[in-house]
Formats: sequence, C-alpha cells, structure tokens
Amino acid sequence: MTFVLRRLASVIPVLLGITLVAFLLIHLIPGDPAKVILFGSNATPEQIDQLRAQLGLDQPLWKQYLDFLGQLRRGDLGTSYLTQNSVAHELFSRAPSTLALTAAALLVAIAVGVPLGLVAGTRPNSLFDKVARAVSFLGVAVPYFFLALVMVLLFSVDLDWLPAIDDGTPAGLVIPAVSLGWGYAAILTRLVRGRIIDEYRGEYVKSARARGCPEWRVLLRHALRNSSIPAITTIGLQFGNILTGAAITEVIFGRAGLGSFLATSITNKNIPVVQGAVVVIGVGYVLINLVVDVIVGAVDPRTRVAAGTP
Amino acid sequence: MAAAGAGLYPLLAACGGGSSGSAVASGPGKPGGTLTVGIPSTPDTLDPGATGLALTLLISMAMFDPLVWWLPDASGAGSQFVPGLAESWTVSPDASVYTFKLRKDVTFHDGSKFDATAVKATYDHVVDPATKSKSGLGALGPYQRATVIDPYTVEISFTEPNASFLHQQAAGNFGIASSEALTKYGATGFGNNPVGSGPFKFESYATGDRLTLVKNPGYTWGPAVLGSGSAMLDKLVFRIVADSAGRYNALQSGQLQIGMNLLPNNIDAARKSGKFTQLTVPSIGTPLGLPINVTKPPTDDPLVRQAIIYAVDQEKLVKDVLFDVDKPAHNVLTPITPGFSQQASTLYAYNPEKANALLDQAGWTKGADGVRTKNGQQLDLNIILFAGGGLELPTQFVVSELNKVGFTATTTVQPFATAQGSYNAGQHNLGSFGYYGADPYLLNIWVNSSAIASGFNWSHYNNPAVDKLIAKANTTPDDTSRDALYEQVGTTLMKDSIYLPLWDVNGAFTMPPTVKGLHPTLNGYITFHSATVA
Repeated sequence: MTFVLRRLASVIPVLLGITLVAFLLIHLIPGDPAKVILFGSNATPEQIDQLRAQLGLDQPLWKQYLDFLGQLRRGDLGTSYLTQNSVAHELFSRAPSTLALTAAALLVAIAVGVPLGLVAGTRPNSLFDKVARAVSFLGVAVPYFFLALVMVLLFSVDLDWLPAIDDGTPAGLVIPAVSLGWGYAAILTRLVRGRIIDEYRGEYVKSARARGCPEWRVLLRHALRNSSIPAITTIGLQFGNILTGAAITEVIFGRAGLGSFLATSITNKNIPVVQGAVVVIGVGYVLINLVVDVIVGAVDPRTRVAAGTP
Repeated sequence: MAAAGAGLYPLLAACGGGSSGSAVASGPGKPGGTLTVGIPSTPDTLDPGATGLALTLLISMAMFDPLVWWLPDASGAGSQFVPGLAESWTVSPDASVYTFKLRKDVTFHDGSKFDATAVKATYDHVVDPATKSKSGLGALGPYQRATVIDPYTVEISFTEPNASFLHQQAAGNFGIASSEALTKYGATGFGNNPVGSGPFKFESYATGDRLTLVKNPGYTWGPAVLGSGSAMLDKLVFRIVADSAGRYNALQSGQLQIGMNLLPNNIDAARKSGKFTQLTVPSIGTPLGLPINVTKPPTDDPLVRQAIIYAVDQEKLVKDVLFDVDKPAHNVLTPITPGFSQQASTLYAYNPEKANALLDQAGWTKGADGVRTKNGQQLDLNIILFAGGGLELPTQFVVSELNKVGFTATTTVQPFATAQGSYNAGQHNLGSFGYYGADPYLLNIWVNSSAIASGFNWSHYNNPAVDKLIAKANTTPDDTSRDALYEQVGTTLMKDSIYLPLWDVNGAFTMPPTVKGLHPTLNGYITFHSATVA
C-alpha cells in the first residue's frame, strides 16, 4: 500500500514538469491565438489587441503559468478559446472515444501478439514461427495509417462489411482497433517469442519437466509467467505511443477523440485546451504505468521489493 | 465559407471544389428520412451570432431565419432579396437606418412568439461583450442600436452609413434568436442550446462528433424559393469527419449522403463513377491565391509582381492539378461578388513572353542556367504557405511556371498561427489567402493599410486612396454607384499587382442522385428546407 501511495505522490512533480514543458512549448510556437480566433472576422487591430488582453496573453509568461497552476489547484482546467466551453467538458466528452479505441487496440495487440509469440517461441524455426515472424515484421514495418486506409478501402468501400467512419457501434471500432493494434501485436509477438526461447533454456524448466510436469503447464505456469513481466512493462510504456497513433487514427475514422482534438488545438494555439489535455493525458499515463507496476509486482514479488527500496 | 466568417476553415476545405453543376438538384423526392452531411471541421459554437467559424453558418441557416434572405436569382448569375422574418423593409437615404416590418405568425422552437423584442435581443446579444462574438461583431460594423418601434416594427441604426448591412444580415450570423432562450441560457450558454425559428430544431450535439437536428413541423414562413412549408426530412445530421478521404470513403459506404469539400481527385473519381452528382456553389469572396508582398525585394518592384501574374497559367492549373473541379480566377473578387470588375479580370491573360520582357525591363538578366540575376543577386522568391490551406500542391505548379521565366523559389509550409506571424512580419514574397464573404467590403480586411502590422493585409499594401475608396463604397447606399466604386478598387488592386489569384472559392457537395431539393446560397453553402433523400 505504501508503494502505491508513494507512487501516487510522485505524480505531482511529474505533472509539474510536464505542464511546465507543455506551457513553454506551446508559447514557443510563434503565432498569436487572438489573430487565429479573429481571422475572417473583419477585426480591427484594436479588437485583436483587446482580445489578447481578455485572454491574458499580454501578461508576462511566468504570471500566465502561475495563473494556470492556481486554476489547476482549484480543479479548473480553464475555458477553450474557440468554443467558450470549459476545457474539462471538451476533454471529458471526448475521452470515452479515445479510451475505447486505445483499449480495443491494446486488446488486439495482446490477443494477437501473445499467442503468436507463445507458439512461435515453443517451436523456433518451425513453419509457424517463420510465418509469425513474417507477420510481425510486416506489422512493425507497415505504418498503421496505411494499413487503416487499405482496410477501409477493402472492407468498407468494396465489401461493405464494416463502417468507414465511426458510427458508435462495436463494428465501427474493428478497423481502427486492428490497424492501430497490429504494430503493437507485432512488438509483443517478437518480445514474447524471444523470452519464451530464453526461458525454455532455463534450469527451472528442465527441472519442471523432470518432475513430470505437463508441457502446457511448463509453458503457461512457468515460462509465460516469467516472460510476461517485460511484456506488461512494454504494454505500459507503449500506451503513450498508442495515444499518438490514436490521434491519427481518430482523424481517419472521424472519431471525436482526445488525440485529434489535441492536434488541432496545437495548430490553432488553443492554449487552455493544450494545457488541459497535457494534464489529463499525463495523469492517465502515470496511472496506467502505476497499474502496470502493481501488476508486475503481483506477478513478480522481486520487483515489488526493488521498487520499495530507495 | 460564409459570410463574414471566413478564412481558415473555409480555406482548409476549399481545395475541393467542383464544377459539374447539377445545380439545384430538382424534382420532388419523398418526405421523411435522415440526411447525414459529412462536414470537415468542428463547429466552435452553435450560436450564429458568436461564431468565428464560417462552417457554423451552414448549420445555423437550417435552424434560424434571417430578417431578409439574400439568395441567388432564378438564373443563378444574379441575386435577389426575399422576405424572411421581415415582410418588408426600408433603408434611410444615407444607409444608416434600416426599418423592418415583421411577420406576425412566427413561433420559435421553444414555443415563444417572434416579435420586435427578439430582433433587438438578437442584435444586442451580438454586440454584448459577454458573447465574445467573432464574425458577427465584425460583420455588424458601426452598430448603434436596435429600437422596438412597435411589437412588429424594428429599426436598426448605425453610427455611420453602413451599406453592406442588408447583405451581412442575410449571411447567417444574424439568424433571429428566441429572446427567452437568450435570457435562459445566457450569452455563451446559448451556443450549446440554440433556439431559432427555422425549418429544423436543435436536438443534440455529441461534441466533436455529430450534430442532430429534427424537423420543425410548424414551419410555414419559409420563402417560396427555398420550398415554403415545413422541411421534408425528419432529421438532418451533420457528421464531423476532418479527413477529406474519410468523407469520400463514408460517402461510398453509404454512411454519409452528402460529402462536403472532398479532395479534387475524389470529386473527379466520384463524378467518373457515375454514382454521385456534384453540386458546386460559387461564393462571394476573394479567390484562393497568393498575396504578393509589395515591400520585400524583389517583389517590391511592380514589374516583378506583374511578371509573376503573367507567368502563371490558371487554366492549366485548374485542369491539371485540380481535376477541372474549380474555376480559374483572375481577380481579387469572384464573379458573383457585387462590384466584381470584368475589366480587372482581363488585365493579366497568361503570357510568359510578356513576363520575360517585364523581367528584362526590370534589369534581371537570364543566365545560362535559366535563372535571372541582377547585381549578383538571384531572382529568388520566399514563399510561405500555411498548412492545410489546400495550396501546397497548386503552389508547386506555380513555382514550376515561375521557374520557366527565370525565378527561383523556396516554399515553406507553417502552421496557421505561425504563418500569420510571418506574414505580418513581412518575411514572405508570396503568402496564401482566400476568403468567403457576404459583401465586397471584405476587401477592407485584407487591403486596408491599418491591417499590415497585425491584421490580414499580407500584401503589405499601403494605399490611402484605396482605403478611402473602400470606406466611401461602404457608405454609398445606391447599389449601382457602390458597385462602381468597388470595381474601381478591384481594378486598382490588380493594376498594382498585389495578388496572384488562382481559383474561385466555392462550396462543393458530392451526393448520390437520390439526394434532391438542395438550394445554393451566395456564400458557397446550401439550404436544406426542401431537401429529400429518397
């Protein structure tokens, strides 16, 4: 329990760090949000200056950052420049779509990657292993957005089996999840395969077999359990990459998610949204990795002790 | 695309024009059903008075009625005013006071009655600082007040003459809102709960995903030209699909019935497939093109600027790069814009020989490598585009045309916010621009000398005579005299060669032939009053 609390406390400096970096980066991008907002509105230069003052953009940078932190302490993520709605509303109404997509992509990655890696690892250099390696090689080499477009053309436009854009049904999630998850499935396949091959060389496997333990038990209970630690850690670390991929996948499939929203907000310099999204995604990332650490700790008590020792 | 609200988002979309005008898809279809329109970006608010995004007006025109409609006439070449919520109107001789006589039979979606107080509430809402109005406030200009003369007469007055007002009030920003709803939801809350009197009522908005409108069964005050009477559709859905190829895919798979502003190659493919019809709606505004910076060498020399315009073949650009789905442009205004000057459009017919001669005259001599130099300097242009404006590929064509007459060029693409800063700082020789408007007064935003340092005058054009001429035009109530003044402005701007026009701004709508009954507006949009899907 202290382990979890300690990890939770470590979130605060991490968040301070990422908000500061995000704040500096968005302000480093040249350009004036007031002008972006007023482009096409017959605005006079005075109106532009007035809006800049209203948005607090005429204040020194350190003051803007402190104001933002003060707001954050009150649980307020601010107001979107574009919609005048609260950033929290804008983000949380889009979060479920992104969660569904990333969860489905992770599911695809695990459901495809782990079994493929297991079977390939137990029969290295067999035909199955060669096919699995070819598939995973393609998975890593083919960009997910390319795969997504090819799948849409085939399964939506030509065959009319699946929706081309999100329609809120599970069917609408299939192509986005498979295209986004495939690359991670490939990474997992290679990882699990390699670990299984290593573990099979271990003395404890030989001793388990010598004790007459059935082969499936050797694989699942011993080898897989030990192989799963790097796999789980990798999944946690890849979560950030999946979010990045989700941004592009969301655009392709017209999904109203966080990733695509953050991307457009950056180009429009919608500063409150960018800061809010960084906080939400940062907290999410930290929490996911916390969960991963807890799971790893449960699977392998050694890591729990190690994490608990300063 | 619309109205005063122009710019960025329309530009994003504008690359996908179309030209095989099926015009107003005619013939009565069956009532009922749902029409889903794939739109390219997310509305900023659903309050037409507050929005800064032209696309919002496509949606708001289905939910709100203006006092007076301004629509294409039967020929499609001209325009006409048609009574909306006002039965009649008068304009004071100096164009500073507009008096509207209102209909008495109109009810808002929330059940409240329409009268002069709603008109006053709507206009006061736009100028209320709490509304943070963007395009509406700019479009309203020197607003003084709205006065309720009697329950069905309202007077809108300006501190100085404002001749563009009748055009502006029709362009979508000034759809009349229920004053009860404005009070109930507040200045910014109204944007999430729009209540008007139009053929469709707001039902729900899933943020960033879809906006659902339902038929207003009591709608009997629609103009005959749009199909008076209540809407034929049961539901009208606007589905946000930012990816242009995604909209075409979804159109093919039947998830969308209308794809807005598809990519030119997709429009071309859709057309050739025989499964889709194309409705291309020309817009009032400034064509897509490249503003030429008149202060940065070498484009500070008028001869060099003229050479640039002579060197580019817009007809070939439209044919080869844009799949013939757009109309080549040769002017600072599109042909349907009042004040469009035919004479200005004929100043620079494609003529590379003339471009070469002008550059020779300016002292730039061609070397063995085909590149011109003067005093050891190459004839080099710095081109800055903003990302997503649809001009990247067309600009490559422009550069190849310029290379032929001895220019070299470097093209950089910057995010919109960054590019704006570069343009104001004058780092570019050529930038990117394009504007959907409601009135030729739109020239004021991008050629006025006060807009150089921090506005949208990316040509850095400083001509007090033109500033005065535009101001004079907007205070001239008589249409003919006002148009003549704008023609004079257009001719001057083209003679001063501050803009390389490429193709006309328009709205492009691709749909299966089962979709019928759409009517074009003057700002590149369509209305759904009599639309059917079967």
